[in-house]
Amino acid sequence: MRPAHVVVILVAISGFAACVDDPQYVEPRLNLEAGGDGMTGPAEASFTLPIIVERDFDVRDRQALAEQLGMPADQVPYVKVDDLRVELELTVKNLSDEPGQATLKVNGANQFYSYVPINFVVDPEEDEEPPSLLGGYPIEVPAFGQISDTLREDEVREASIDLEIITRGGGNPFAAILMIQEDLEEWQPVAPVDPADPSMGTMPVGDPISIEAFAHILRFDLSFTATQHMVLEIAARVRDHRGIVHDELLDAPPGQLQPFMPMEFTPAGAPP
Amino acid sequence: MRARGGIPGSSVERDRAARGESGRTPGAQKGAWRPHGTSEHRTYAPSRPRRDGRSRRWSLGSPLAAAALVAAAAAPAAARPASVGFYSEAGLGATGFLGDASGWSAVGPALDVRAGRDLWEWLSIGVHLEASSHEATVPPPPVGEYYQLYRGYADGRLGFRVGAIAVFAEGGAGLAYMSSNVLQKVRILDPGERFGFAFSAGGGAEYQLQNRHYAVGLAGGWWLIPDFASLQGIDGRLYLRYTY
Repeated sequence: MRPAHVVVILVAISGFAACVDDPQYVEPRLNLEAGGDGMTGPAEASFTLPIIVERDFDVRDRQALAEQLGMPADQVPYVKVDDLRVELELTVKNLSDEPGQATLKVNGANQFYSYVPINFVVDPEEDEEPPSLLGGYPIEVPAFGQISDTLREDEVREASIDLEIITRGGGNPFAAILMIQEDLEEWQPVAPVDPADPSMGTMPVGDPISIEAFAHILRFDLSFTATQHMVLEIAARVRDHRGIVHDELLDAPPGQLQPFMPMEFTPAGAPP
Repeated sequence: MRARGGIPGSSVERDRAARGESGRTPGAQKGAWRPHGTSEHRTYAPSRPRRDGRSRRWSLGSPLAAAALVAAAAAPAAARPASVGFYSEAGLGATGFLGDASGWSAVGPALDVRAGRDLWEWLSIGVHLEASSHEATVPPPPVGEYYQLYRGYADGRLGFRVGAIAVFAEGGAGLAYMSSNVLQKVRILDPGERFGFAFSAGGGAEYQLQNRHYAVGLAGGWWLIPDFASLQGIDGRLYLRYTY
């Protein structure tokens, strides 16, 4: 084979390969503004990834996986943790003439549950609020300046795993979020510690959940605070391994998007 | 055998003496000072026809002289033959954008492949695939993100050759694909839009190598993708062409 043939073939192959998993940018057009005059408390907003309605073969695949894992089909998520790679791109602009500090906390929901840290505070006098799934660190922004940051794909994947451990897995949110779980293969769900007999620790409940049946975060709940008048802009960079993100993204007709209705997770013992 | 009176006695010795150190015949030695020709059967350039002196003085202003100059310029083409037929081509270069889009995308490297057929020496048709990678310089976020622009054309090339140098003009029409929607933020792409019709036009110069199959060239062009908010740009490439 002549060198020119080899070059043509390699370029053609690489061209087709390049089209797989090309990133798409979901722009929720949220201008979260905080720290300005009269702005008390955090600026909050949410956006959900535009996932297409589950197709027949998606249902069959999910049922087949459920059978393989020995789980009920409705416990296997439509969007699993390795179906997507999501990265959050954020930019904070300081509109004031003083340097300041901004903080973005990102929590969220998969198709089953949402995570709300304050729900884990049983006794406000003694209990500390658990950390957020993502972010939560201060960002120094110079006067009239802007800072861009990224919550990487591996961090978002880790947050998806943490969310499952905390909710369906019954794990402690502090332990789940502060520990790295990226190599987890399965998780044994546990019952929360009995306040009457804490020495017993956590007790296993049911069968282990395989990482293949872990759900991906689909809704991102943002909470933005700033010490000066600042604006946050955010975009999600999504690589779709299964072709389940709608081509038109947030401009897609609602009828073509899968409706998700996650329940707000409340741990046992928490006030209703 | 003994020599008599300094004359070699044998025919072999006489032949050696006549050839001298070069080992060539006296006839061959006459032309030994001439540069070597291209044929392996001839060790020196062929003699030119002798002139009688009457045609040496040409006037540059005469039509005959002009025709002779053109003929002289075309003469080396025979000494640098080029294959005509199916061809493939690979090139490397850069692609940049024109207009408003130049603010949203950086100049990026480009890879270019072509294949087709020369219908005649002066006309070729073929397909042309080009991929280029660019940093999106849209308002943040995102920051530091790259995307790829793929273009495929059916194209034609029109040109002529003078000696080892060919110049050409080319143009094509086809499709373009953008690997991500990062330019949707600046309204170059519409929601869900990835493909668009594309047009290109350009030209270049090509140098035919001694091997009749290979040529190298430098080319540039302009392209337009009307569906992507009339996105347009220019590209340049250095290429190697192989004609079968």
